[in-house]
Amino acid sequence: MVHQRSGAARSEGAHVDETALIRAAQAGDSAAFDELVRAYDQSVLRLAMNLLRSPEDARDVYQETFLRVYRNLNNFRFDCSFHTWLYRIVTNLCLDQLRKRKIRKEEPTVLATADGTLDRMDSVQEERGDSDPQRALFSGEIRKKVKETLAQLTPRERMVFELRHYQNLKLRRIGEVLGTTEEAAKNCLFRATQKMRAALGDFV
Amino acid sequence: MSTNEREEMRREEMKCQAARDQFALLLYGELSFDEEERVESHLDVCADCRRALERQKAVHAAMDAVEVRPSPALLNRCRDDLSELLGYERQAQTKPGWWEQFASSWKINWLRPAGAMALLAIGFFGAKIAPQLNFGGQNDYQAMGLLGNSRVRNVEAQPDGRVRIVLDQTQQRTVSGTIEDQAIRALLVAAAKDPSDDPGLRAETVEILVPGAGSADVREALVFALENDQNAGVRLKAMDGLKTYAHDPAVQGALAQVLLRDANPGMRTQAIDLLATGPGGELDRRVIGALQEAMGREDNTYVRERCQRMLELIKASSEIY
Repeated sequence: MVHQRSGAARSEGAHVDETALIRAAQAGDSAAFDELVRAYDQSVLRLAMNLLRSPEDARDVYQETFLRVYRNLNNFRFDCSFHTWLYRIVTNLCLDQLRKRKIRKEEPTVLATADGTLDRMDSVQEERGDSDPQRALFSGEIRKKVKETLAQLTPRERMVFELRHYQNLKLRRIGEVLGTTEEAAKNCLFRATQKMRAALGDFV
Repeated sequence: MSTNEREEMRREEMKCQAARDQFALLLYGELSFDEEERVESHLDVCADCRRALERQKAVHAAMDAVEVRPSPALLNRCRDDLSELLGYERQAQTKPGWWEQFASSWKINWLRPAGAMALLAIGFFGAKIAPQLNFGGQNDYQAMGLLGNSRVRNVEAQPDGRVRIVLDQTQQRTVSGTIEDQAIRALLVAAAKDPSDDPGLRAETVEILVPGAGSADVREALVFALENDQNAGVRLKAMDGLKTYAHDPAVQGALAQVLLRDANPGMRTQAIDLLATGPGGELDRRVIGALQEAMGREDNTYVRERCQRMLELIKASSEIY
């Protein structure tokens, strides 16, 4: 099983393997289903974690995503790629979660404390490795501003931005995943990047 | 500065703004060949925009720096939780009997639309010819006295959007009507509560009933199945059908029962979500008691933690509002 970061560049052989794997899982082969999960679960968890910035919520989305895949796999008809079908499930779950947060205004990622601001994620996840030279270029102040700006995007803008910037999906695929047009996804990305540029313009 | 010079400057500014608006898409490689060509032509002659593009690249790099990646420990916990939940799911699945194999050969999504027609075929023991009767209203149906002495043996989907119900009775008849007919619904409600060891019958019945969950009698049957059915698949279908009625007190009571008593942790997990999410996605504080009690008796780590998180959320929410 081969799964690239974007899920896009897969060899023909790997595609055939995946089709066989899905058919086996549909026929009730538990090992095949588990292999499918292992092929994609890191991407799913990373997407949920990056979007929701909460390990608990990411964990819930992970469970719910693969339970839904398990319960609905027989309805998968190969009309689209498995990756697209899976991402439709996980993005819908994440969007629901983001929208609920907008209503509840709960669990801010960055908390104000007596000692300054504290990122809830800092203690429980790994940001890009410290060995990444890019990271060293940016002060904590800029990272804080980026996080705040990301949190202020609308759920749809946040989702499109996540899929394009961090998941490296092309806008056409993003449109397929979110059930919209490439043009609408492009407009969403445009608004998101405009907001990022406006917020970060003074810092870079 | 002359008028012409000012206009020329405004045109240049517009060109610059138009080019800068495209920078993000340029960096993502999402511009068409022609669009990219126009931006690059402008960059060739505009030093300000070249500097602006460098700033845009810095913004991109800053965004890269906040990407989070889940730790291997979190991934392993997720995999362990999922493995446990899938284990219960697999256990809950019953082996398909002859009827389920037959039913699975028909895709029954077309049963879902409200107002689906129902066709009743009533088994006539030993008879080879069955009189066919069509029923459009409850008076006809009730006149047959079917409800008093019949028992639903089987239900199955028909390609035309109708359902076929086989009843054990002393004679065979075929009746048809809409699912809105009270008598038809009464038969389906009876089938949903059928005590025989035939989960396939009850699962299909529940699925047929779900679009009618707006009616109190149908909802009561779904609640009964959710609370009492021995088969997790049937209970799951009933719970799915009641999702939009999670604010109904009877449904909330059933969900609390699921949370406290259901043997399937997947069911309990879903019950937490439904209990805690009322209309509009806001938390419902009436579930606190059930969640607290579940915390005390829950033996599944994941479900217990989920209860705890939900209680914490409710607490946080009550502090906000």
